[in-house]
Amino acid sequence: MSADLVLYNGVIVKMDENKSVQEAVAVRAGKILAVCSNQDIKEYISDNTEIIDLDGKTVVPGFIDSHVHLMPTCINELAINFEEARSVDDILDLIKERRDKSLPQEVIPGIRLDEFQLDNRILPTKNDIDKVAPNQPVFISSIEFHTVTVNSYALHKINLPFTVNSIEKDSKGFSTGRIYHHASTIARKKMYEMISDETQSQGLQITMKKVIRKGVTSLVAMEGGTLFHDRHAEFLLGEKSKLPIDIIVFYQTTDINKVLAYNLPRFGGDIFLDGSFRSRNAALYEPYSDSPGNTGTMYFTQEEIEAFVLEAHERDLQIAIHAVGGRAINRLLDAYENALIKNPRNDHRHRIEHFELPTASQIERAKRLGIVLSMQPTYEYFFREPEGMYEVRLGKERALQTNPFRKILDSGIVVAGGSDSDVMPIDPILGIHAAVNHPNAASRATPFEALKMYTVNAAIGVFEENSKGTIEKNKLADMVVLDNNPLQVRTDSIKDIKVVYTIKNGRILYDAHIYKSHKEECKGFSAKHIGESL
Amino acid sequence: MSLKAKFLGQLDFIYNEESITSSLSQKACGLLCYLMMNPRKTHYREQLAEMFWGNSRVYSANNSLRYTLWIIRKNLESDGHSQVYVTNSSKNTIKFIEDKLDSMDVLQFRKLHSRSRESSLDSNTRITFMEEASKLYGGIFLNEFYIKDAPAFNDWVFFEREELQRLYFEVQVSLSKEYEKLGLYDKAISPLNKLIKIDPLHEDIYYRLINLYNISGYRATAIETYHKLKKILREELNISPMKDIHALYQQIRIEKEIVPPQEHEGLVKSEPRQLITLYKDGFHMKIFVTESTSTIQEISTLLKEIKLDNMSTTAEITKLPGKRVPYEGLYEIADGYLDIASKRVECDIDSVALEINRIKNTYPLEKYVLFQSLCDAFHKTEGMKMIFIIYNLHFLDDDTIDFLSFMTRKCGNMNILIFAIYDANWDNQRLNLFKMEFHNDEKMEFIDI
Repeated sequence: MSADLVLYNGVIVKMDENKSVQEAVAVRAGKILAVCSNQDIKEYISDNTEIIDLDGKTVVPGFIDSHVHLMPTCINELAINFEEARSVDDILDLIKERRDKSLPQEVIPGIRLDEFQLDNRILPTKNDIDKVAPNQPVFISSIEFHTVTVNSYALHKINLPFTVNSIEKDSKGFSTGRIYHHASTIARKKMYEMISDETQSQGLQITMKKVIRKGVTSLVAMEGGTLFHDRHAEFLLGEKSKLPIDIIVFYQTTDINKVLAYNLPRFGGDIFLDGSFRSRNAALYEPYSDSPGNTGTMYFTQEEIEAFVLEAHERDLQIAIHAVGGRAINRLLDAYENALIKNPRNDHRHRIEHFELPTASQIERAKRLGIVLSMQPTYEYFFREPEGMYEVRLGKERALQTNPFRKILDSGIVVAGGSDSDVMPIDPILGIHAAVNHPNAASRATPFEALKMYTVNAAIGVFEENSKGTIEKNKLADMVVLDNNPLQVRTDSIKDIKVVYTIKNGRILYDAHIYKSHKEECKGFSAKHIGESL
Repeated sequence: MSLKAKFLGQLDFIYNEESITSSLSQKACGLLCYLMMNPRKTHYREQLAEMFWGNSRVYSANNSLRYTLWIIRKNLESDGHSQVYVTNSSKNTIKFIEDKLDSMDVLQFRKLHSRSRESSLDSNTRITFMEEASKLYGGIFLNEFYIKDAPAFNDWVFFEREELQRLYFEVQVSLSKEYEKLGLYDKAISPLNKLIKIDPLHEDIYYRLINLYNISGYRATAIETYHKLKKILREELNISPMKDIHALYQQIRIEKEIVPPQEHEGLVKSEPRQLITLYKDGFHMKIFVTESTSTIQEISTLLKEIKLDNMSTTAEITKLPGKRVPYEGLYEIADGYLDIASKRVECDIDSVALEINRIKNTYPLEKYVLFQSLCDAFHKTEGMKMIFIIYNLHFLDDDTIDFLSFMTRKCGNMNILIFAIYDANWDNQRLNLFKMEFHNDEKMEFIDI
């Protein structure tokens, strides 16, 4: 049988049970036709076959990112990033620059503003922002999402009732435009409502190009909910069939009817049972090292989380919930166990998102209950530097216990790897690197295990292992060609591996050769394939 | 000649009974509003120019102010005679003449609010003032009104907007309390619902509202309101209701029977509640027959409570009005049964669904076969308690009424409870026959109210 595409003379890492490797792979009608030797592949080649000589390069299954906030990532692509701002003048310059490029009345979102990075450590006021953008709404989110600073026009548009109480006032009783706590959540939601579908689509196109360049062929998107907006989930559910890669949506709601209305087989997502270490609200057993007496926050009572889990479990849905600290993990395990006792069910694949600081007994319980863990190895890459966030918040000793991949993998639990974009970049190779090079040597995954997290295990995490995750006959031809073999290079240089081709359903979506020759990001993509899809 | 101004809600100036708002520029509207809102104040021209034309040069700003004032005066002319509303109190100052103002909602609203707080008032007078104030509040101050290059003016608007909204909240809460003191619970609820529309996350208001629903006998609505709050707080802020509200909810759930206060009339009497809560196990049918709309309403509310307390075992039939076509009611019962079965862990839902689907697609219809098939399906879940609430029994088609009769014979050993409301105004002949046939049957209970 003739193939549409043949890749040969390479190292095909099948990621099957036997860890087998081959030289060539043939693709037909979007699926893998054969994985075999260079000699045997010849029988699949005809005049119509596109042939690629891999010249020793490595092919692995297409990467699956198991935890992405896709629409916020897309909107952030269009937002002003204030990470580098060091003064109010820097902030105003950036707003002015964006104002000049934007349409009249278009929302200007801004992200990652850190007041502690500013020279006088004071956020701008609405009057400051009014000077450069009086005619369009400006919303600036602080880096830890607790504060939103708006200009007068945005304040007028969002029309918050005075009862929300968290709008800062100056000495004369006039609003400063700085909105805190719950009111900032409401303000951010109002901003999301004001962003047009066209703008969302624009951000989505940019994001798609970027993730495809990173070898991603499937994304598990956690959309909607408190921090974001339900329209994100609904927009994505409407658009996903038009996108070049697969999007698996977790609708982050506690309203089961919304999930049932879309006939989704899964419920929840990154629903916050507790918070995060950065915001000091992940639920710990012992207080934060830099916040005496504070052990974090639990957003659901035991009764509430049990009712929520049980209802979804009895509806045969897969459930995913965010639990970072040990106390939250325990509460969630209790809820899962309660549901499984009342209604035993095999192969439910309920998930815990993050699972950052579990105890040994919680790992055992998770294994016993058949829980899939969705974890983000890149936290260890970005948060673990000396005096980094983990160490400051948790102290040296406790920081050593975060993301204990070795213990978890040894227990036999399926760990699906994800980025947690928009918090971290979507970059599975960096994720693999981070899991293999965990700063705590006792917590490291092997390169094969780490690669599994972003392929086989990620597919298992969403019940898609029959079509994805390995390079085997009849599976979808989702593959990534890498310039080096992550299973053989020095472990500390895994992050330097580059994606050469991204292939989805047998179609080449990204070709680094074209990208390099044109030296423009967009030229690296196959216009035909992307254009058809977007 | 009269000038009226409406600032609560959409801004409008009415001169001699005609709106002149569209003849004024946005800044003219803003300026006139600002002057009217501060009638006792003498304004420096320079300050007004800075407030509305702060981005222009001083000369240009002064000219703009002068021109805008001329436009305002021009619009307040009648038969060529200008009414002096805005005077030049000196070369550099302007003042609005308060006496010339016919009416302004903000002024009246503030006065009424202030009068309602006078300690010497009796309850009824206080209520009258507050009701009038409520009527005047047509929405937030200068709704949707914003002048893009006048930040100082906008700051003033934000300030006034908040202040007036605060007064409105005060009025509504006080009004609710006054009604409550008089035992007028129905009336006490309405002001709070208005506030929930403005701030759907305001827990203190919800607390009062849930409590009022409960003490006025609307227990089901109290519970529903709690669930609504719980849902919205979870969706919007990822938090649970505050402890006090949760405790109140728990208390309402436990208290099956709420005795309404003596002085309050026209609320749910204890009789229908007792009639509903008294029932036997096994197959039992309770039909409430009445011609009174309010009684139907009361019983419907009580039956909704049954549904809330028995979520997984209850199906609601004929929730919507309208005469059913042949077999329509039967299919509603079949769907209701499927809904119950889907919530029950012990059920093999796939096989039940398959069976119901088969029954619904059977054609041609053989009445006996159809009835028997549905009863057989019920027997698949024998032992499982099921409650059917038929809100509009009188709308059921004849075939479905025949099925109810059939059920009493074929499902007599099952744990099925049927509550039904029969509005006797509809005079359903088949139902009347049914009543005659079964009036002595111990499984049937016809309650005339």
